[in-house]
Amino acid sequence: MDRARIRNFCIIAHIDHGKSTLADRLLEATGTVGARAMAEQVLDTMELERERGITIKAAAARMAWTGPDGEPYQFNLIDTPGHVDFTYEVSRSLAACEGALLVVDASQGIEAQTLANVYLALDQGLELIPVVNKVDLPHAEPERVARELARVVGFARAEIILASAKEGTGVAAILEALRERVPPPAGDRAAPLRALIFDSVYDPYKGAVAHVRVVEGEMRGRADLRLMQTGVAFEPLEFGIFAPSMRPLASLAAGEVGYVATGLKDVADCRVGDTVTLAAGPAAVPLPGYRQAKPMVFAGIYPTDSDRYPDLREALERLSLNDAALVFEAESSAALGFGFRCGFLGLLHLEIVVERLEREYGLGLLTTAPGVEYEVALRSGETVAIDNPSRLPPAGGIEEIREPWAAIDVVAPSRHIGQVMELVTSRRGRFLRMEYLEPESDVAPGEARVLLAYEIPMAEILVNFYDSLKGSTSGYASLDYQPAGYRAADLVKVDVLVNGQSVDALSIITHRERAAREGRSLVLKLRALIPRQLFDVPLQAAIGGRIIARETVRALRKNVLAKCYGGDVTRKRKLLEKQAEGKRRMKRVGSVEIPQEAFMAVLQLREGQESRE
Amino acid sequence: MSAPLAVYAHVPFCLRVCGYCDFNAHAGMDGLKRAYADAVVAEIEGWRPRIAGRAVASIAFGGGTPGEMPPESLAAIIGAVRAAAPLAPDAEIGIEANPGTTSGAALRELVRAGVNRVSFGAQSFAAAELAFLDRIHTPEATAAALALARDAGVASVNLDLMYGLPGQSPAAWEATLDHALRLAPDHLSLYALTVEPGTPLAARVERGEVAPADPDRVADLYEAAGERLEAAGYRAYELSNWARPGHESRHNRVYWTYGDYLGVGAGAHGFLDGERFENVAHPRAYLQAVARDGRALARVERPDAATAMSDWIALRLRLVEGFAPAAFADRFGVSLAAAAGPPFDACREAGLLEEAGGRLRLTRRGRLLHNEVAVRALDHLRGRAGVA
Repeated sequence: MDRARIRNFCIIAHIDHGKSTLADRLLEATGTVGARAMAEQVLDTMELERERGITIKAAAARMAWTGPDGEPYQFNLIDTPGHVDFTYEVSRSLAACEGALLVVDASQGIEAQTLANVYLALDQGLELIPVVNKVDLPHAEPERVARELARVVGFARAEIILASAKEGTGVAAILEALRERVPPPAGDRAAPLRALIFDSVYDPYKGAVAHVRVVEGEMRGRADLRLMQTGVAFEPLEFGIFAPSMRPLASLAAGEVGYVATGLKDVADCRVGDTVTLAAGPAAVPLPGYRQAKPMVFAGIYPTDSDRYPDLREALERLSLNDAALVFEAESSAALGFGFRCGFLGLLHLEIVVERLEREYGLGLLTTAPGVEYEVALRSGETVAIDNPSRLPPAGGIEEIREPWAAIDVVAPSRHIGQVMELVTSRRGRFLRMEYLEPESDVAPGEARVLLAYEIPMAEILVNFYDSLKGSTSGYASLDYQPAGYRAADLVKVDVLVNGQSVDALSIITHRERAAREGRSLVLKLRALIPRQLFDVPLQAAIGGRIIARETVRALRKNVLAKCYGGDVTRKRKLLEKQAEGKRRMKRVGSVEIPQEAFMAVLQLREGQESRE
Repeated sequence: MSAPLAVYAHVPFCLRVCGYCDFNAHAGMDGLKRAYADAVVAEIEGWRPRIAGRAVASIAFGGGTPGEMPPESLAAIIGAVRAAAPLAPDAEIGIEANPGTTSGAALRELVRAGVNRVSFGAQSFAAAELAFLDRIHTPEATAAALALARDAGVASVNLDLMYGLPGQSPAAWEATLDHALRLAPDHLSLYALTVEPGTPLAARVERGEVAPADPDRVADLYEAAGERLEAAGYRAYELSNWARPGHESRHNRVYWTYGDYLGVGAGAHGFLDGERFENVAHPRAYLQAVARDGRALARVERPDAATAMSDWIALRLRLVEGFAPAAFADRFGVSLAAAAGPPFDACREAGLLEEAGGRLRLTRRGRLLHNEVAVRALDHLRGRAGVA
């Protein structure tokens, strides 16, 4: 295909603003997928993605379209992950495109995450085509949202397309705008091969399959290829395009989007952002922008049934085949036995992984409270990374503890500024700046949308922050975050003793001035969450060996069925089985049975504080 | 070998169904009663080959309210049992009755048919509590019914009482107990009110109209009752049952000792030669099934070894006397220690079980924690079965 008739684009949209429906309409309108063969949301193939209505893995599709000039065009849609945890992946998808459809819900307006992605796209020089979607909805205010887009991103009103992906209106105008406004790809086909990997997926027959945009040169034949960042070389099994399922081709040239089946057994060798080149006659430098996936959130994952540890290992290995951002290493806990310390891009990533482990591998899991990774400078001059509170060295050996910070953007109507400020400052956040996204004169009082920028310790936004933000703004606020380095903080470890025994998995690292209060709050929560046992169970919180709080779970007194009626033994047995099932879901620590929720009690600490403060 | 057999006959009819009740009981079906008795007779005849040669040690009519059946219908069912298998000379034949619908004439007829034990659903002697429970009778009716039973020559009379009602004070419970003791029944069954899912009571709890009693306070009521009844000469022989010497229910003992019993009638459960049976529950469906097939089985289950052992332990431990470990080994061919040693050791250590006179039994504290022992035994036995 002549490069001049290729258009590479992606769709930037907030969750629920209609990205997947629009993608489906484009596939339909170009005849890529017949309407009858079309399952809803073709591009979101993972069951979990469909249930949650979000895209976890990016996907791609090539579409053939005849323009009004009677010429055939090739449109390559590169789908992008739709969540704040996956910003780096989004940036690589954007780097594979020349243009992007910016889809905004006509009744919602632009959200913080979308705006962050818009900035990413503008930075990379993408041509943006603004689409105000869902104009069919009764609460739609397309003109207001169009004015907001014009003001915030600088569009001319005439550029903005009004559409309803659900009803199919505006789809023709979008296709024409892609042809007319998105520049064709540049890139020298005679230059040494450089192809950008914007996603990689594991296939049991083809190994790691890299989703690529060929930037320069051409892929042809079975010549060995090399990944420039990881240094891994391989003979490609095949390459081709997504139509939308994989279809092998004889060549992929600069400007085109497709896949390379690498035959590699480990997707970690085939990382998003890496550059594919020829093993013989390679390019001199890789494409810019490559970054190692860096986990931000850490949690321990343990099988409730310790016999299933090998199954958990195997399940994690298999999940990580397809998820290079998931890292894990074996760890053992005095309380929980053998498990894994896992690192995730964010909380959603954690939730997805845990849910998939339970659902797809039938594992009963115990997850410890998620936390961040601390940098601990020791008196010895050494610096260690601590991603598990129980591993914090003794206070005497510590020179300084540094915690990760994040830069966050919140977009909310101006009437909620007060609540957002209060929430962020109660969590040690620092205000940076405020920016009106639309003039107050344009809208009803208090409705003007405002961007608030803060810095805040990462640990403070891990837990319930997003929910609290939503709650205190009646659901109107949206959030985006970026890592913002490490800073020293006055942090201490609070240990929890259950029945006199320190339970490592319940330890927390917290700010010194809050430690006593959080310790008290934690044992109170635990008292409510740990079921009564056959004996009194003392619960204590301690800082450096000093007990700061104590509660007791009183011994159980009564658990007996009143009668065994008319010889119905089966029914009685079912009740016992139900109780046995409940016990099995708990983790035995010493002689105390502790349910999963107890290990998450720390997550509720901050909630309580906000209602008090 | 032909061990004695117990027979349970279910009567699923009530004048009114109480809000806490989730038994197989129906109001407004009185027109079915005679056809129902015929069906039960037919069902018993169908079981004849299976129970031939075994002495029937007890017959129990439960419900529902069997006392509201025409006495001749119950007599016909007793007759059918006699015709199918020989009745032991000292057989216990018991019925449940509602004090509000008991008549002297009916009781006399039942005694003539062989009934020697009547159990009255007294539940409480406080009018307000009876109203809360949707009972149709008054405290006075219970006293009168008990007198009628004595006059009719019923050898053993039981009163059922309920405790742990929402808001019930220790004093209110003791007043009910004292009232019951003044009537001098031969046997007392004390049942903690249980909020069963799907009942009108559960709906009231869900709507927030009724607050269930605190389980610790219910435990207090249980312990207070035990002391009072023992002081009055009653002996606890099962977790919920107290009797004057010689008046323990032999029928219920069959359940707790893992004995065989035939269950007839709608939704009845039976246990014969290691198999558990369950009948079709709805009275009309039961009638249709018997008319069509001469029987009404909905389910037959042969529990695996682990389940059988677990059932045996759970049932035996309900008896205050507990059991001799040798009895377990006799039944299952494996020692209790080998089958379920660890959970028993753990429960003994926790003070729930004790050994006395070569028998294992629940301690006083353990009586209120029977499920804790049974669940541990079940879990252990199942886990063991999984490994084997």
